[in-house]
Amino acid sequence: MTDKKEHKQAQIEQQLALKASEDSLSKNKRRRLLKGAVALPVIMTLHSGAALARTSNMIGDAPAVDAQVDMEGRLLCAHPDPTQPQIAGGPYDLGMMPSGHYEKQIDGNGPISLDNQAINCRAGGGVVISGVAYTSIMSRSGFNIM
Amino acid sequence: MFQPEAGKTHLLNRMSIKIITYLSQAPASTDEICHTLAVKFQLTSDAAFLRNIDNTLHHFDALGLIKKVK
Repeated sequence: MTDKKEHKQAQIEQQLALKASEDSLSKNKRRRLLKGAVALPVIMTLHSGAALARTSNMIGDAPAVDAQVDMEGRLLCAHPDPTQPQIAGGPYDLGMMPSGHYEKQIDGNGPISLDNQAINCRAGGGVVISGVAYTSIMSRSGFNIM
Repeated sequence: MFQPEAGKTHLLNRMSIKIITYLSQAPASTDEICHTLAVKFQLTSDAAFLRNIDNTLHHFDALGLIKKVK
């Protein structure tokens, strides 16, 4: 082998060694990065505090036919909690102590239909509560009828 | 618990409610949450417990109830 060929061979070996060293360094850096990523504590927070700061006593406005009605045929009108933010069109938050009142089922002109009782309830800022929703809320939080 | 943004109602057990309540006060790491729950429910905070809480947090994250703080 001539001197020129030996020199060329040495250069190639040197380059290969350098490349191997760089690869090794790069792998080590990657490992460090991965290890660092795993070691970072994951901090969790609520997605939206305002959205979750609500009680579970939420109801939708029920059709009159599904409404909670007493033995006298009076429709139960629930009161949205004035201290809770309410969404127009519902669902409505009745708050921690749900309450409501029975609508009048009769006036000077005679009996008031359930549909008209529902209209009167909504006109007064109330929400028609269904029998199912009333039973659920009553069993959990109680329901104060005024 | 009603989630207005998604229009969904979630039925949570006591431990899940505790997690949500705890996170509503301040952001916390999984370790902090585990420690608090272990003390509250008088449980051992071992690897299995940590894994269960981690799974629950992943579910909450997927549901959009909680998120990771960057």
